[in-house]
Amino acid sequence: MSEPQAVTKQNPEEQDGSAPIDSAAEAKKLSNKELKELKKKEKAAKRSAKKTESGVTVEDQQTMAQAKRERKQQQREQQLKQRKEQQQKNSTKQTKKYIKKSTLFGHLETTEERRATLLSLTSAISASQVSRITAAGLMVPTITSEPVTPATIASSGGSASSENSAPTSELAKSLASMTLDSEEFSFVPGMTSITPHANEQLFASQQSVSSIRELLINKDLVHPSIILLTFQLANYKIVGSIPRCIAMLEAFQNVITDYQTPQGTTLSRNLTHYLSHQIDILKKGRPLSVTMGNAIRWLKQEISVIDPSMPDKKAKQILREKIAQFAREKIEFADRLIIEAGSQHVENGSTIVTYGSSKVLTDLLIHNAVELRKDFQVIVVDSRPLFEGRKMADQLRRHGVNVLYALITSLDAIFNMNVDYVFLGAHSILSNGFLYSRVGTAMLAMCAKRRNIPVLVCCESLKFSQRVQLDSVTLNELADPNDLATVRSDNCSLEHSQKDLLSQFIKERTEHKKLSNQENKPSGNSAPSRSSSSTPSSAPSSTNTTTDSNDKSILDGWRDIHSLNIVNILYDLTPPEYIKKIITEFGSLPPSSVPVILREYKSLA
Amino acid sequence: MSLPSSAHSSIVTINSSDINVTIEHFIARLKRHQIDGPYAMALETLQLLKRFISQARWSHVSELIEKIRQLANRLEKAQPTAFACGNVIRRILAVVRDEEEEELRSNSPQAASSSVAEPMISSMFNLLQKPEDNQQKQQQQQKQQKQRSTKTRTDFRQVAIQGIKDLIDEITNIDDGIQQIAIDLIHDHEILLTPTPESKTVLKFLLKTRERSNRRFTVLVTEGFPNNTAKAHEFAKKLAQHNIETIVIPDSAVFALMTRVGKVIIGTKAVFINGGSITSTSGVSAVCECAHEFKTPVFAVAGLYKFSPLYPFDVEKFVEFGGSQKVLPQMDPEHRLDTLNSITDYVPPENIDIYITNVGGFAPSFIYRIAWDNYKQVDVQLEM
Amino acid sequence: MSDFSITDTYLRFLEEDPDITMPIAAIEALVTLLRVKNPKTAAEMINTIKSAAKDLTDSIPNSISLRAGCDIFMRFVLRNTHIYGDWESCKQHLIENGQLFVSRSKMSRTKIAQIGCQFIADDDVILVHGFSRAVFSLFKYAAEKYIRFRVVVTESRPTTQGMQLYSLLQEIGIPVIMIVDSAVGSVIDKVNKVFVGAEGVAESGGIINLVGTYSVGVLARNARKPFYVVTECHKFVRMFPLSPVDLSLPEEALDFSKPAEKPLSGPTLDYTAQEYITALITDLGVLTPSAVSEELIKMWYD
Repeated sequence: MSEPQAVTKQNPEEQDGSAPIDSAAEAKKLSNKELKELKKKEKAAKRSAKKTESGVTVEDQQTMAQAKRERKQQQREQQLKQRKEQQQKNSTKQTKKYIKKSTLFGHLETTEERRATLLSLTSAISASQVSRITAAGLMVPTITSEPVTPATIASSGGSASSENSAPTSELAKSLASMTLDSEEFSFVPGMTSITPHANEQLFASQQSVSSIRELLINKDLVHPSIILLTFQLANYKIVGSIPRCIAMLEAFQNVITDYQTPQGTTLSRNLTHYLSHQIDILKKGRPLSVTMGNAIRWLKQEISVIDPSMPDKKAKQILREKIAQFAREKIEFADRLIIEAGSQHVENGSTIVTYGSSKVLTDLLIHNAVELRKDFQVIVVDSRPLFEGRKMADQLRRHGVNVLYALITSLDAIFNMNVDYVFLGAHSILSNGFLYSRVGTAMLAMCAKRRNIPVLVCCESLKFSQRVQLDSVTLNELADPNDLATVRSDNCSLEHSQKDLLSQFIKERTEHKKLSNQENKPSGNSAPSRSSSSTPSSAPSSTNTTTDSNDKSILDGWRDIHSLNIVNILYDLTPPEYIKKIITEFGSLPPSSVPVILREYKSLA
Repeated sequence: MSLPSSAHSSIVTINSSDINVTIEHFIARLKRHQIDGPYAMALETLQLLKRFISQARWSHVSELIEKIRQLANRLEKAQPTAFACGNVIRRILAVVRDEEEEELRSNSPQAASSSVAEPMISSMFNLLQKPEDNQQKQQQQQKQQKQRSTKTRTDFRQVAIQGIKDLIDEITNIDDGIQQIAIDLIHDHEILLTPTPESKTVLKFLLKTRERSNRRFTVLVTEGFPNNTAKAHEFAKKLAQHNIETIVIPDSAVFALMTRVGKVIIGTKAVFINGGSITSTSGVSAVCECAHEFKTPVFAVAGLYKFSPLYPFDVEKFVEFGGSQKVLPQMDPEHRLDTLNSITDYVPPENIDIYITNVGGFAPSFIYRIAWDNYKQVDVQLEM
Repeated sequence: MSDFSITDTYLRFLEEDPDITMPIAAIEALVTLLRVKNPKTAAEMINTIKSAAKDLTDSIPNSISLRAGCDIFMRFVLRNTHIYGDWESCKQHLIENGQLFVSRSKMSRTKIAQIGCQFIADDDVILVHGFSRAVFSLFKYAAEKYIRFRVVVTESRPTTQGMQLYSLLQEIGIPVIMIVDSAVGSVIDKVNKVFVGAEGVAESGGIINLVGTYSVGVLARNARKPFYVVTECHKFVRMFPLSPVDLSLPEEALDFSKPAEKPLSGPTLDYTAQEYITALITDLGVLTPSAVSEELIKMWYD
């Protein structure tokens, strides 16, 4: 079976070798022997480079080297084969090995990366509660129930010594090495194969591996309500910087209730440390919002000033009350003040444009329509893929507000309609007066400014940030690009991403099944190398057919087109010159006064 | 003068009910937006006109002109935003009128001396022009009336049909002309943004640029949600398959990314004489405004047949709106929302830096001249 | 015959017919000159016109508009004599048809009104600065077409042109409000478009008009309101001011050295550059500012 392959392999190898010779020959003619040696060196360099790239630590490189020495006899042919496979992959499939990263936003964490981290984490966490750790890895219940699993594990576990090229096995290897390193880690090979591309990329950087390792070490410290919240955040079940902040504060109240100060330390010292583990996990779900950051900073400050001699019970009681008070003061009361101040701009017969969805704006407009009985029109501008404005438009409509719903592409027509005010919500306002808000806000503000329509921002001072930033590219949050791959006009981000994962998981499972079937049949060395070559080649076809026929869209399988990318950012920056007024609980101020409030706020907190 | 000709035409229409059916059918399709894009529209109009002219009968060329004008007026009334129809018919009218003038000049050597000089003189001299002009005109008209009885020497049918053939030729070869000019507008590793993914001219232009100049560039494609998203995806896919670095972005991300964009390319549906244009995707206006704000150059690609001799007095009349289905697929029946779904967009001239056409590149302020080179002022208003 | 004064004739024409514009009056004066002097050769005719035109522009303080008339006349004579050589018939034509030109110029205003009418829509609020016959005839025409619009008139200091327009518009029943010139900034957001006339249209497409037009133009642009110039094409003049400073007469310059005789001083005209102008509504059609340059180029180079 392997013989015809070997024969065919000879040719490309030679051809390939001849290409560098041609170029080299011009300068100097090299003897065959020299050439061979050169090639060997090249190969060795490549291998080692690959190893370090894939995040294999020094120790297991050594162990692998040992394993290699044992297999040295069958080296020649095997290496040729592998080399050819490598080349194949380099030329055609290399791209699939890496997560698509846009050139513009390469510095930002993609949702896939986040999801991969989260998955590996949760698999570890949930696994530790159910099954026991083995040296090679372990199984979550769902996988143990599958008859194939033992084989899978065997193959991936065994592959650590035999295969270099197959991406899945490489992964498994690195995972296995981690489990070997420290008994506390637990990884599920089947699980990690769900997002092999993502995980691979993830493990390519030593940094992320170590960060995961750290998280895993501390996994027992994580409070269940934090894990729940992390998932809700990651799946955009809780959105909006204020709701996210409130949810976090509530979770922290639970955490504090359940917290027990360990022996030999004090609450004021240890709780902060404990909380930072929770926050680390939270961060993995979605980057923290500015409100959350500010709240956390305040909370840590509060903890640190607690008298160490105070009994735990009382201290926890005080903290919980303080958190509740903080939420009330900074959000509830602040909103009330903002609504009061903002109401003066909602006039009878006026037309108001808003963008996306903002809690305080919805309250403001409803307050004016219901309690103050003003008659005005609201134009809710919305955008793909989140369609948050629909929620706001519905809420307003239910309270009898005259609402016009439009998309951001109709901006020109909207501003031809005698608009009086533009009201915007905020994710955050930066120290240099820039408004950091849902992507699209800046364009709306710009259009309004150019038509001399005043732009008002309603924003709690909790959203003020010390940060400065000049453009929207440098720091932003990436959402799932798959949300944009469909043409549907309903909000499908949730089901879509989950469906995507699920279908990919199913694909991976069937592949594993196939793989193990193959392994069961033939014995010998050719099997793993063949299966390894089949894995990457079948991967594209699997992604091609992931989403099934019910919404087949043009961009399905966009990942396979090398030069195609989808960028789905969540925020943009609105320059202060577009903003007339910021309405906060401290009153109305120009964007230039944000740092003033920040100083004040700091002294208050 | 129009009375007898219109009476005459009604006779003709009875005779050629066949062509009338075709026209009716065409108008019905126009009204239902069943003709995709100005390119197809222009070509189909020309084909229709060709049949119309070959079947029409007239005793004098002014009758022919009148008939063509009526046809154009009918089409324009049926679909005021189908600019391409009016444009191509007006251009054929201009061809016929030129020929008519030519013939008049050759017929009367006396008139020739004055009319040779006439085009040279600025219209500002109208004020001081000799009053004989009027008399001359009357004389000419008298002559024309005389000529009506006599057979005209020029075969205007031939002229018009040749004009149509030339125009069809021009329209089908437009992309080449544009590419040759525009190729040097893109430099290596530039990031381009196009908000009009439905434009085939833009697509071909980008592909050709990549092919010919071998410059690597990145194209950001906005989605044009909700009406053109599928086309945008198709567009992006095609570009990517031709090895052009392509990034699909939502319409809302334009401002965020504009700092990185080197040039904005737009396709157009119609270009007016003030240099403004209508695009077939909504949101382009805001994108161009954004580009203007960031001082990013915007260039529009347009075939000559998209130039319209109209002035956009009332922009709102030219911008089309669509139904709510695509904006808001599900609606609570008890709390219905008003929706707004603009299909096309008007880009004012100040937000466009240059037009690349098959006859050269022009600043928006010079578009009026290109238009007047191809149209006759008398044909701007088709209504009688 | 030496007692013929071109300036007096010019002024008399202006006085006799309130509807006549300065360039037309200048052309009429030159026609009269030709009739009186009746030059015998082409060279004599040209010289006579040249010197008369110079006298006229020198003697009238606000000469931009009449210079446009002189320019066209001069150019027309030159073309006809040089290129076609039939100066005699040209002279004859000019002398005989003086009245025709006047009526034509009035005709052109009707034409402008017909073209400009499309720019006025129902429920428009239109701001006007200064008094222009072209603008007034446009409004009148639009009102006759039953377009319902309202007009905000500036007081137009230092002239009383605003008052004049105000009462004229009231007479024909167009709703009108007069504001002080300095209030333009506070009402600009409430108007839909701005219409002004022009004393002269410079080669760049910018306009020379009553002082204050520039500030109105800047405010309109800032508020993104369309700014239309309504003018006859015989007011196109071959000059290219760079800024309002280029226009001001020596006695209007800001001079701090002399003790002020009257408290109010400063220019009475200003220049509004082409970037503030949306379009020019002329009897040649709707022109972009750059089309003005083309017309002038066509007139002077062929």
